[in-house]
Amino acid sequence: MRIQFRVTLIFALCALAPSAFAIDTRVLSAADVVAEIAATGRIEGPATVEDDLDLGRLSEAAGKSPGGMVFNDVRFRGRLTGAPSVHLRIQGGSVCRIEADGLAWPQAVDIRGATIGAARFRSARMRGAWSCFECALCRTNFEEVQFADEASFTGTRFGAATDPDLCRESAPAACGTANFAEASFAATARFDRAAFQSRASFDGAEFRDAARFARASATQGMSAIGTRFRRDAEYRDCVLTDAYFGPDTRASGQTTFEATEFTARADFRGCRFAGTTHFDAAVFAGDALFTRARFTGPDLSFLGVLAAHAIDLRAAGLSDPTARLALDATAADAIRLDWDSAGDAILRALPGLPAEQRVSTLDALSRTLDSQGETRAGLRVAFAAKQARRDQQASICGDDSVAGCAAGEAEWWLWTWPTRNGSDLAWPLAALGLLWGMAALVGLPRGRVLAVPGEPADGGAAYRCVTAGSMPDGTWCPTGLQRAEMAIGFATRLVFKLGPTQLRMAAPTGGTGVAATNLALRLAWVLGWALLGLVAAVIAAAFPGLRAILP
Amino acid sequence: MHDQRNRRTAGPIEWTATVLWLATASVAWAQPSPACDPASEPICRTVAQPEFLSAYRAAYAQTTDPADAVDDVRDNFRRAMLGAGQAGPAAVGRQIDAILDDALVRTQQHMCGGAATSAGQSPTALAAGLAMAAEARGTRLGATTLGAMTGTALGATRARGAACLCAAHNFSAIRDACASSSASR
Repeated sequence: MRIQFRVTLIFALCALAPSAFAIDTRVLSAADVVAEIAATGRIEGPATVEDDLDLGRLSEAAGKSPGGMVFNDVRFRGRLTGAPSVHLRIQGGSVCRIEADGLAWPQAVDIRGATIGAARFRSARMRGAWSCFECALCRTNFEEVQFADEASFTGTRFGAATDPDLCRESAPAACGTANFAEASFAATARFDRAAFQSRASFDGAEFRDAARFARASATQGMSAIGTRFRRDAEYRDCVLTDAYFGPDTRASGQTTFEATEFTARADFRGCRFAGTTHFDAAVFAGDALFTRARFTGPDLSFLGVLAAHAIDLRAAGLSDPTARLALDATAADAIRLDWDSAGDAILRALPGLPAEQRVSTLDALSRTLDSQGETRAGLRVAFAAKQARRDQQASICGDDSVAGCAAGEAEWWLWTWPTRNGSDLAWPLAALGLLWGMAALVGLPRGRVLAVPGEPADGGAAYRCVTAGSMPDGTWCPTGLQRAEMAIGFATRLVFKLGPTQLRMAAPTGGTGVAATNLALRLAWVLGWALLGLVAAVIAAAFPGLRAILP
Repeated sequence: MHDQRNRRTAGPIEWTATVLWLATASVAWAQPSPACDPASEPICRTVAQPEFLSAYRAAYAQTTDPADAVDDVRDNFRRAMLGAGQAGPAAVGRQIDAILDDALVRTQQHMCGGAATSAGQSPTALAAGLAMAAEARGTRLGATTLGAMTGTALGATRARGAACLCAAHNFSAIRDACASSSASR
């Protein structure tokens, strides 16, 4: 019985505890807010304000309170309008809508951890420092806003879905674009760790001091076309989907669009780019760093980029096997990359370039790679340039003389094409292997390859066959496994000029047969030399360490 | 008997789904569909395209606040101009204002004459106004963009009807002209 009583008592206490410790949410009218602000300069929540409030008139009530106006855990379910003339501080709580289009806010604003349904500040002038630290905003319009002091949106979520209960009337149905187009940031702009959950627009914005977007994410697209970054643009470790720092497409003949300018360092190191990434026509006056960046989307474009220093894409990865990295000649002059990771993507993007730009782009890229010590890649790109140039010619010789044309064709067919301009050993080695295999097969039947005794006076001229009449004494015909061994030895000697000197091909009967065999052997001998020479030339042209060894 | 034991009445999930479906259906039913004579105007070919219609319907359903609508239409315009590299050398926002004001005048010429305009004509009139004003300044709007802009602008007139567009003296004034009475400022 006693135990039952105790259990009942514990349950009763547990049930009553929340109500005992619950803090009642006050419901305040506009008049209550004015009175409380006039008295203390602050409102401590939890409190709910249903009425619309004019921050300008509220500031008059706050008078010369040194702390300005402080709202701690207050839910404004109506609209906040007007411009506060004292320091405004909002900590926690929520605001349905702040509307300050075209107004001048003379004092600093400090918002922390608040949820805001709509912040509309189009063409407003923020004369004090602005901070919205770890806020959650659904609709954001800071178009053409002028921030005279530091603007901070550190850790803020833009495009965050709102609670339907946020507003007295209806909460925003859709968050739309987080709009900072043509905004002007006179001091540092901090968007570190900001998460843009709806599209973000910084088109035409001007960052006169550092723009910090370190570890920021924009999963629904970020557009910064015609944006001017006057100091460092810090995007390190960002996550951007469909990032446009240049236009998506260019209307034919269009030259008047605004280019995005990075006056100082553009730091995108360690960023992850998904979808389409465009830096078309961007101006990089400082270092453009994309080291360790990961591009998972199909399109990355640097067309028309102007760069005073290198655009550093080293150690960057393009993980999409169909990815295209579009460059033109000006971009190719400045780019630094690992050919092994990005080369195929560049070549895949080439057909998208106008035909007249392909050769110049490839030439520029070849020079750039060569100067970066990527000799083999440079040669391969030069081959692609030569191929593109041939493809563009209306006729084979074009304006060349016959001799010049013949020399050009010989160079193309004997060197450029089989060796990919000296970058690739595959064809010469395959041809050598094929020649050796054929020679070995030809020598395999019984009685084809003979071993002559002693050291031959001709030093092992495998290209001369021996007739029955000219066989020296002791010449013997191998059998069994020895036959295969000798056929291989003979082929090695004929093609690679190595191995036993005593092996000869037996001439067939008849004078014509002897001449034909000798001719074929001569041809194989010379072809072997030619292919060996080709291999040596490719190694000399592309071997990475050779430049260090040779003077 | 066995079947009856397993039968259950509609629970909260089913009721919520039904309410949501009805709400969506009522929005779709309420929104004016673009009506146009394909032979008479080039814009009719655009408004008949599936891309236009789907963008129009989605934008219409998402928009209720006229102030939000003005912001979204301006943003769509900026996107169309900059994305295609068609923006001028500076002050794109002012160019957009001029184009949208022009678009509103053209729309009003179609919509706000003496004779009452049917609900189906307002999307076409607005789409035509937007497209013509844009083209007059060298910007071509795609069917999807035009559909989204038209749907956004008309979605915001839901409280007062499309005729509220006739009361606005410029595009930004749609915020006040079309705001619901309780929210008007």
